[in-house]
Amino acid sequence: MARKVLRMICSGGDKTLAEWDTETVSPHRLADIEKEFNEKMAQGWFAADILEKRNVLIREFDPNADILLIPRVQGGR
Amino acid sequence: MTVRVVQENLLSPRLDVFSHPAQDDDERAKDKARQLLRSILPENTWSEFEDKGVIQCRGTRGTYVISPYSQTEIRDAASGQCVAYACLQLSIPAPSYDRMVAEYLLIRNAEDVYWKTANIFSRSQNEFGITTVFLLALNIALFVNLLLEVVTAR
Repeated sequence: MARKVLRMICSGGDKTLAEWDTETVSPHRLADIEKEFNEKMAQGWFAADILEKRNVLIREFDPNADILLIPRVQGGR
Repeated sequence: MTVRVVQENLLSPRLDVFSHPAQDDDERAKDKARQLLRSILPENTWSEFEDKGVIQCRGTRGTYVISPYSQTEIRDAASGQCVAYACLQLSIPAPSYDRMVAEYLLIRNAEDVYWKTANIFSRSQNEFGITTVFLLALNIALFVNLLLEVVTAR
């Protein structure tokens, strides 16, 4: 079993948007998760694969990654 | 006896409430964000964070000292001197540990984007020196003025 997670940073810390098992997940379910991922990316969020501390930014959905969605960032004071 | 039993029954739920206070939402969010930060950091960096309260991240433009409570220090990689401060924030309200996660990941993967996005305040030693000298001179002038006022008043 290879469980993967898509989560996003939010005001409550972080929230799990989807979880799936790479061996058993249906293509239809994966397509739904990818759609959710792409919607966030289109809004200016960025994504990182944080599986086993890989910590690399990704632009495209990877079903084999543990994905963290991070909101848009801006300069502060 | 009956009174004592009734008192105990009445008090025990209250005591339970007070002995295990419900963690409020902010604290829960902070804990989750801290756990997330821990999950992405290398073990030695996390240990350093627990000891010093900051994480140090080496980039190509310098070493970054990321703190949950203040602006990020950018230090010269060779001398270790602070050369600038960076301020980056998330576009949504979130615990400061989440901002640290974002900063860490950006610095590690897209340092140029970090520099373009964050507000960077350079810290020039000369500017600091001139300001200090100016303020010192102003203070001396004010003090002399005060002394003259006191002397002439007599």
